[in-house]
Amino acid sequence: MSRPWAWRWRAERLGRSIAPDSVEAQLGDLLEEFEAVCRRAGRLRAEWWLSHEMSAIRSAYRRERDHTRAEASIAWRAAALTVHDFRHASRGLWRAPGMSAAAVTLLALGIGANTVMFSVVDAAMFKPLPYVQPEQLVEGLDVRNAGTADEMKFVGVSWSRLDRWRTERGVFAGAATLGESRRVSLTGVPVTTDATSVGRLSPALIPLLGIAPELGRAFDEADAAQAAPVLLLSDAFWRRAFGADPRIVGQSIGLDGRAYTVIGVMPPTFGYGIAFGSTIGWEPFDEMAARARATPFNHALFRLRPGLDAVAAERQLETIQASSPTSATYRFEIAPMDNRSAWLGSARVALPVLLAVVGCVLLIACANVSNLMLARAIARRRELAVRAALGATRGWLVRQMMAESAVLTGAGTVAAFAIAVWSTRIVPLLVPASMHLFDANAMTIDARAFGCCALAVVVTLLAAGLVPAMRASRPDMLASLDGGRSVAGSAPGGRRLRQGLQSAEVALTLVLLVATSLLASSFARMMWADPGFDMSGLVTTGRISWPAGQYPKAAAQFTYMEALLEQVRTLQNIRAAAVGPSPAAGFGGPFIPVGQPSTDNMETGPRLSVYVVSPEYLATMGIPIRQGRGLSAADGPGTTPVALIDEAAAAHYWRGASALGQQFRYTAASAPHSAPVTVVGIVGHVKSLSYAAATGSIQVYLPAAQQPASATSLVLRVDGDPGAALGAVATMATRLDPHSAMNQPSVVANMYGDTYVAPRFYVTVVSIFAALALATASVGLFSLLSYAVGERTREIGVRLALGADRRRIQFLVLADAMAPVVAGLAVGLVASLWLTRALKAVLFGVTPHDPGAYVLAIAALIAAALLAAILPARRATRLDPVVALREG
Amino acid sequence: MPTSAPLGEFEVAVLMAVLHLGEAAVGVAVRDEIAHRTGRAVARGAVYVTLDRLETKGLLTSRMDDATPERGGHRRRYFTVTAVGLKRVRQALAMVERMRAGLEPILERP
Repeated sequence: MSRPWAWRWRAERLGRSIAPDSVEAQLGDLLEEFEAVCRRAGRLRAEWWLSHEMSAIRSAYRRERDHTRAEASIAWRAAALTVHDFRHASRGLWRAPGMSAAAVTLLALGIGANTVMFSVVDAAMFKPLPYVQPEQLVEGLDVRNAGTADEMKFVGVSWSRLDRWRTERGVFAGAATLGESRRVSLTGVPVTTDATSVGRLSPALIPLLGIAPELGRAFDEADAAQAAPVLLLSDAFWRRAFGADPRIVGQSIGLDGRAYTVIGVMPPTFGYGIAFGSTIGWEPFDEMAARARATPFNHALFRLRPGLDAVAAERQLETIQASSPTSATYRFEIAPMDNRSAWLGSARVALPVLLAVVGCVLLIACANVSNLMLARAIARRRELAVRAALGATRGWLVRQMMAESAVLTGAGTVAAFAIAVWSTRIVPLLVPASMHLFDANAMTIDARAFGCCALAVVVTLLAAGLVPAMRASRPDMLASLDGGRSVAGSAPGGRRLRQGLQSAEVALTLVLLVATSLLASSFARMMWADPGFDMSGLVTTGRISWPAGQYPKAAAQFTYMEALLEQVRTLQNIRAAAVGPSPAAGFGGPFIPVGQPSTDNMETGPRLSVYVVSPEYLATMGIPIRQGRGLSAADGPGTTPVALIDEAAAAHYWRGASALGQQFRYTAASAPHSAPVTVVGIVGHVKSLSYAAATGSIQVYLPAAQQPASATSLVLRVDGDPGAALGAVATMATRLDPHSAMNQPSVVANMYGDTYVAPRFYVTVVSIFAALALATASVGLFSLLSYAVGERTREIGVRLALGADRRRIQFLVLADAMAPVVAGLAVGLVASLWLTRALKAVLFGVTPHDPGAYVLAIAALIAAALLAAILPARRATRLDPVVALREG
Repeated sequence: MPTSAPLGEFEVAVLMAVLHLGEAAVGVAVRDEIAHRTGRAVARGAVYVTLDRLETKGLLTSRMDDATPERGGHRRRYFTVTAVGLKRVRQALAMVERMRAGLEPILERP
């Protein structure tokens, strides 16, 4: 029997929505029955019958599918927040614009501050260097094995060891050298700039880092031979001097009167460990020429063999050097190129603190919004109770409340993100460059910052939304269909929760205030601290330099310095002058008392600064002599080597006993010129520039006549314009020797100013956030109290009607206000005592437990709390009992 | 997908028909069984849909027999009630029983 006609066009369609086995069985059944119908009623009737049956089956399945979908959608709607919920929530919030605006502002500030601060800290500390696989980049170091305690580390490698190690393929994949940068004078540059140095890179360096110029090409080997001088510009200089003009490539710039062809521009991310603020660009470093000049040490970067980490590489180096000592006195070591943790100094401590501070601000904002939401829920409890009575489940109520906080948080997040994006343009301008925060990476709002932002949002949603939602939907809260007209106001549980939130706010605010007052008082002490010398009118010429070989004998160089000093004294407006460096420019070294077991080395002991000075130096600087004598003209090359030490050194190394007549060395025993020097005088301590140095600092003064090679600068005390005086000195110096140049003439007070930059920044940032926190907490307290007074209007009315004293009522309200504040203060005090220990490293002259700072912070908080309480308390006492009873 | 939603009247009827038919429970037979016992014409589509749904719910299982030429080579599909299915039938009946208890004076009035 042939297949039925209907088959052709129905069977196919049946198969679409039904499982294959089911279709097959059904078609079989139909065929079987079709034949029976055929026999009974004829082919035509059977065809009609089959067609009808099949379409009936199809519509049955279609109905089933629609039904299933409808059920699924009902289930989905019951489980999740829907557009409807959000619309409902938005409408509700729109009707309370004040509260909504306050909440969105708070959340935007909280989330925004966290995102911004995170991206700052991330760029400064965590994000890897902007080179390819930066963890493989290391610096090579020569370490002199000169005994145990006083080994010397050099940042650099001698040529022979560089050649030995750069071919050690088991450890290194490549190496490249950097030459010392040099100062240049520019000609033919349209815009004046204070950037005046040029770095020198071997052609292998840029490929070693795995980067490329953003414009033009990198160096090649032919450039290194310096057939024609070429230059790669830094991005910053290119923008400043040439307005980022891409046509710069191929043009020439005059450096020291010689024409350099610009071959490219390096990207802005090129710089960490290579460029400094004053770099205008780089020229090729000619290793061959440097070898010929026998520069002893080279700054060399190595890339580790792929698959080798720094620890394994160090172990391999040790093994190789142990089995075949390459040098008896030197050892080769590596150190990660990314040494930001050391480079950042105090910021390493301060940045996480700032991150914690903004975290606190977000928590305070959350507590406040949570409190607002709770107040709103309590005010709405009649409505919620009606809804519950009409069949809204608790889940529905929680969802409704969560939808509100989600809408608020969403709006806050959008605003926060706008703040964050905007801040990437503003913050780098506000952060002082001398803090080096963005040396390695620019501040960007990227996926990591976004992740941090998302985390903050989740925290916010949970902290600000869930608590009030759970609380407000509790059956005992909803039991008040009578409108909560009980005499004593809202359910005590709700009030306790709100007070708890308020206490948390107060506690967090106290922590911030304590941190602020500690940092501020530390900063003030730093500003007003006696540096140990007289800073007024003091200027320094900086290091005076001559072309290599100008003065092969140190004595001749010193003769020049003495002649310069003689002439400078004749200048007007110069009150005093001496040979010697500024306090910041002493050189370091170990301090090894003769005849004492060495107890500490360069890393653990106090930081030594050595100053090579002429006899007039102490008088010029205003450093007092405490014991013994100063330096004199009689301390010359032929007499006993002598030194002055400061009180701190005397106290540290000769505790109690007199240091006069004692001897010490300030270089490693194996080094040349390691003869011990005799202490002839003890002078006042000069405050170290590094306020954060945990181990303190000590100073040593050596007579210039006995150390002529190191006597290369002058200090002057001038009347009037220091710039003019320095200019006159510069003229004099070049008249005496046309090849001489002053390297960094500066005003000493300004050099100190630079070190205040970072602390000032911390104080400013923390103060802003603390003020924000204080304002938030006060506003929160104010709203809590106003609400509480409103709640208790009826109670207060009853009391007044029964003849209660108005002052007692006022006391009642104030006590109500102060209870959460006092509780918060107690918790915050304990937390502060514990948390501020983290500030220890950035505090100067203040301990983290300084009582003054705590008293100040607590006083500020109590004052703010009282201020917030005054208005509600006064309103409470002005109530007319009749009105209160009628309205309440 | 097992679900605990109460069974509909027709679902219970289909399950019981499968129980009645035992080894011979194919789609057409289920339909005939219900029609025969209730005296009500049953739409073929309704039976197929319900059988499929009950299988999805885990109350029925099915197996295919070997192909026979008289059905155009299409195999038959035999249904069996699962343990869960049996339990659900009992529950449904028990519910009716409990609801019925005490209604005898009304229900058994002629």
